[in-house]
Amino acid sequence: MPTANERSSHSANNVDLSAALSVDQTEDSGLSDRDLSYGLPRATVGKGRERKAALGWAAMAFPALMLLFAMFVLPILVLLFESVNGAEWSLSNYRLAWQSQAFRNVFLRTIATAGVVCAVCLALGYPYAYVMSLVSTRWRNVMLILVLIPFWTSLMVRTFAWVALLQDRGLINGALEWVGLGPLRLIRNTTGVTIGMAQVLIPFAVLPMYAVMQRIDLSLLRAASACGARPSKAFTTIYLPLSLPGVIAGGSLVFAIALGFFITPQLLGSPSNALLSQLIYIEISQLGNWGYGSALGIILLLVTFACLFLVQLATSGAEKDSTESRGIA
Amino acid sequence: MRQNTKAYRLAMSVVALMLVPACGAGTSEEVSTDSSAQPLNTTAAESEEPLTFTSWGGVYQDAQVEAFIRPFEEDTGIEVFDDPTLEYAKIQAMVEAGNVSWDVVTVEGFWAVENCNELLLAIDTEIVDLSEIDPDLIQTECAAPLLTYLSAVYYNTHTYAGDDHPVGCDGFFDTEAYPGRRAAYAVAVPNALLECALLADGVAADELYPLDTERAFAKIETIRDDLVFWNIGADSEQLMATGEVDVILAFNGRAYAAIAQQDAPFEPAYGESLVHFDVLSVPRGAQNSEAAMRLIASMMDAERQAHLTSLIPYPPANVEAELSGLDETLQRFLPTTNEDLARGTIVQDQRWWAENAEVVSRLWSDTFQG
Repeated sequence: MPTANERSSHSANNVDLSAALSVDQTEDSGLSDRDLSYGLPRATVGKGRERKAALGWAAMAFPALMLLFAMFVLPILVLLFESVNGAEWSLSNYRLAWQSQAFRNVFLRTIATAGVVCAVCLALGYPYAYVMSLVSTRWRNVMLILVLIPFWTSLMVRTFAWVALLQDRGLINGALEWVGLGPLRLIRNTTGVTIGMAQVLIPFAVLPMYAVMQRIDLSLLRAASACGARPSKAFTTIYLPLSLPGVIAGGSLVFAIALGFFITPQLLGSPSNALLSQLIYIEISQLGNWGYGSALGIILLLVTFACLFLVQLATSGAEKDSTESRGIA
Repeated sequence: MRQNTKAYRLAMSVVALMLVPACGAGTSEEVSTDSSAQPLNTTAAESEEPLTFTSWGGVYQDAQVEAFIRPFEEDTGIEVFDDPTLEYAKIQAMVEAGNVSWDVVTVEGFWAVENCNELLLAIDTEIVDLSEIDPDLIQTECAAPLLTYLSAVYYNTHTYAGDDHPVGCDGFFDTEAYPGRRAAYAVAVPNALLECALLADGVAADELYPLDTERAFAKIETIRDDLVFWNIGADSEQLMATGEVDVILAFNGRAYAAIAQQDAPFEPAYGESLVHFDVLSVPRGAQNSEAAMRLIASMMDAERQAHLTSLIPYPPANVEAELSGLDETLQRFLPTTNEDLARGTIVQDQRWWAENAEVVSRLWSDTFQG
């Protein structure tokens, strides 16, 4: 990929120096310094043709962008319009939400549940992804299929299966009683909701983490032990930070989805621990308060954006730190 | 160099192609909105246009189709589609958009009262004969009462053996004498739990309305820890069949299905029971309102309503319907054939519920979802 471009030559230098020493450095610097032609044979004369080429390929995305605009952006704008009471333009719906004790409780509960589900998914998914990256290709495919099978089953079927399993006289409680641990309340409360949601969302955590983990060079860990580090020390100082981008990607994906999840909390939970999505459903569907329901929807959207933005801030700060500290100069 | 401009040109032509149908779509849209303003066909042609009947789905709608729709289709030759996806929000959306695809809808009484003339047409009494309908059930001009269903108390025979069992609403709210888990409907409006709470708190049946919501919610708070909610009828059946709760305030039809057909260990604990009713209405802007009224008229027939009750145990609105030929187990669950049950029935005032739907649902939401 050597080019005549200034920036590319700078990146070529970086590649030469750090290729042997830092795996992710190559990836990062490669991405940030990549020229606009994305690996295509480039014009050797002038920037005009570069720009046109870039525009050409970008324009290919235009139909998809139009679809996104029509199917996503426009409805959101309609929602926004409803939430401020249309032509009358008032923030009364938002004020109502803010003042409602029920809304505040539901709101906090939604964020807390999403956080717990995220933590559970990461805790269970990390070892799974780690093992996936270590085993032979055949076993890896088996593990991959096991993770993907939930995707291929209907969400309703899975949730109803959980209802049957978690009931007070269901299979799980039957087994627990036989062992002597007694029947536990596993349904119509946050516990049941968390279990159901975690099972549904684990693939979203495992796959990004696996994608990052499989690119980590294990010889680094061997090098660390050759330098005298204990295995646990090598893991925490080398492997964990390298796998962090995957963890963050998987975690934020799970969190964002969990914030808006509806079917599983509706079937496994109860009105006394409703999540925001259920509140929105009741307002729109049962009560016909489209203004208030839309306001709740917009609030959920903004909260999701805010959380993802915070994650973005935290990770870009971390990236800056890591690239600075790793620069061999 | 050539390759890049080629890519550019290819992309631009794709974009241009995408814009062509967008321009074309504009004109075809105008054409389609014109069709709704076209003059109606002749009466003969109009009556041949199919109707859409929308209801709550499941066994309920199956029974409605068998008892009413098929006979109507045979009598008149008008084809009727049945749509099981009734949702109030959909009716609202359809009427407001001016694009109504449902002709006859089965809705709850309070909703018809609440949205009469805004979203629903007045029933054409020249076509629809309401003379045989129970007058207590006629609470709005936009609805033809179809059937009634009861919210009644049922107790778990495994928990309470013999004669020492909770009776009626007093028993439901008496957690000292009859400890155990209670279950009630999760939807706030029109929830019989409120009337039940007031009755248990000592309010006389004829002094119930207007409901004292503060008093009702205070009473419900006293059993809050023992209370679980069911979201849809099938859930309540499930709770009874698995015996997960000890006392339940459920719809009698669901209780019958659970007890008679699924061997649920439950028995009726009649004291008081609340009578709700479903009605038939025609949304404003329905394209076939005259045929819709004729369908509704056919559904008021005593014989056909009795047939419906034999299929699902919800008593008919028509007082002339003959129910003595019904299954004996079924008769236990109907107030018309079971005097113990009939004594405690109180017809829920859908007009009060229509007026106070929003207030109650806000209170309910704040209390139970907080």
